[in-house]
Amino acid sequence: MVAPEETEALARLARLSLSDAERETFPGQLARILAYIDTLAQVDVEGVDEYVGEQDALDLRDDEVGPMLSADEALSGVPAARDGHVVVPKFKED
Amino acid sequence: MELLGVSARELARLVRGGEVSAREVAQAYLDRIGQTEEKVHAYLARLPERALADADRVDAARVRGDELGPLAGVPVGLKDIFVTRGVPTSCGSRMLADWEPSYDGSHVRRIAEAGGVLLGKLAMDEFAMGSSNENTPFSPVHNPWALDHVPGGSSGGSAAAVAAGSCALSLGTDTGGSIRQPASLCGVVGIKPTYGRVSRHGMVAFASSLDQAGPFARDVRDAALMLGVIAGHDPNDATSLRAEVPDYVAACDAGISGARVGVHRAALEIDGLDADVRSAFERSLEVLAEAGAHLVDIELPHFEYAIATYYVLATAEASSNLARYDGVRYGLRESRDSLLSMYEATREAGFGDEVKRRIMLGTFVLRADSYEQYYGRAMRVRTLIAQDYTRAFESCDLIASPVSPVPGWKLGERVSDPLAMYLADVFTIGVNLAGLPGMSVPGGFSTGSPRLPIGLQLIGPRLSEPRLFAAGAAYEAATSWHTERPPEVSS
Repeated sequence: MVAPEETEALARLARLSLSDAERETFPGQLARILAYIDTLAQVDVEGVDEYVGEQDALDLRDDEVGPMLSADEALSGVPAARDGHVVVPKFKED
Repeated sequence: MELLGVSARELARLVRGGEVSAREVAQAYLDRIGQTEEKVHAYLARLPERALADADRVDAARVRGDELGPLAGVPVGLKDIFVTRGVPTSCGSRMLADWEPSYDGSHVRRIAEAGGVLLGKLAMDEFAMGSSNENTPFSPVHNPWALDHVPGGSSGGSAAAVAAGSCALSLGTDTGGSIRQPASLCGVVGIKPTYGRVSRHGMVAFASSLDQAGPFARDVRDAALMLGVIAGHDPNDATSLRAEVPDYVAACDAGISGARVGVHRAALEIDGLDADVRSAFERSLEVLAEAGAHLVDIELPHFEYAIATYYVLATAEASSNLARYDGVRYGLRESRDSLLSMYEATREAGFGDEVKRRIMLGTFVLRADSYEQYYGRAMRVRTLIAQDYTRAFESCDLIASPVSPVPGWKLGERVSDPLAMYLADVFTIGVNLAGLPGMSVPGGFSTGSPRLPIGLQLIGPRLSEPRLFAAGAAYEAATSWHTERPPEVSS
């Protein structure tokens, strides 16, 4: 069973605030899923490297300025914007 | 002219030849949407004005004598995960329900350049997390073959719309099976290409090392047509492959005489494999053999660990990718006095349960003290899974398997047990882990009532899409599953 405090701590890390209903159901659900994931402990991974995929090379473009979104376009979908900036709650004391 | 029963290739031919206007085609499909949506709920956003404007542009181009593309006038639906400039792209979530992107993603651009007409944005499980299109704050999608059954997910709307004939082609995404499984449950063709074959630019990210976009269509050649349009290198996606894009439609004619088709027999003994799914699969193997294929037994020793591996890696990547949804830049913001409260309140209001669960799982497996035990270990098992397929392909040219262990279940039947939902991905998920192409083609029906589609999965080595199209087309030529239409939404 995932302890309720553990669920709370995970939620904190993930920047989630859980509802009462979620605090009720999540620990049990997460515990079941984690128990299933624990079956991976049965696999012999001795000497096996982490998966790197089939990429031949890191395919980066040249560092050249090209066409891009204007600041106004980029800000057009932002919840709160002013004077070319994103507006957020104050987080620094003056 | 009866336009709804015509293939996408044929529609494009008729439009290019001036035999029918793109506007007429678009209107026929808009009318069809009107007929079917009350029952199916495949669309999150219907875009009639946009569709007609797109169609008019194609018609004007033809009148000017411009060359028209391979999708000229073909009405297309897009899973609402694809970024469309000026059109809300919700990703099936409250978090992005009102987010209007300021740019078009690669898929939208390529489809437009090819002459495609956008009908609307299609319903999906939230942030592409789910296998039934029930993880949604909006209406769930109803399977056109049985309206109280699920269409599959997460690309449920994309599959259902093609099955119901309310678009000629659609695009979905597949991270653990989310194209192939709904294709199977809705009786249509769906293909997840090789990882990197199609750009991920303009596709909201769930798990970046697993996500791929791919087409849904009513037949294999139409799917090949669409893949040819969206495939290819994109400088905006560093993981997209530089490999040339072959003529996939032409590849459909190659046949499968002499092809070695691998079958993993042990997988057919899993708990919960529906008897109809099993017998449809065995019959499909006979069809392939009669078409000239040789069946060979293969082993996939780490097959049973694929789901656990996926739910470590995909959730880890998702927890990272979804960290950006905090109220600052995108979509929903729950204003509060502090940044932290704003983040927490926004994410609480914006995300559904399954998304929250997966973020928390991902957060858990990435914690420093448990990295080796979970994420590090899963990354090693992923290598073993990929090696299993590489080894199997030494003795076969492609692998055949079922897609879903069961046909589409009833709406609401599986929502209370997340783990049971995850286990439904058993046949599809390893293919994403190994970065391979996989296709689902209509492969039969259940024997009971309602009569539900059952798909056949074909899997190949990297960049073997031509081989898969050849096999899928040969199977299609020898069967008639793909010609059937859902009775519940017939006109």
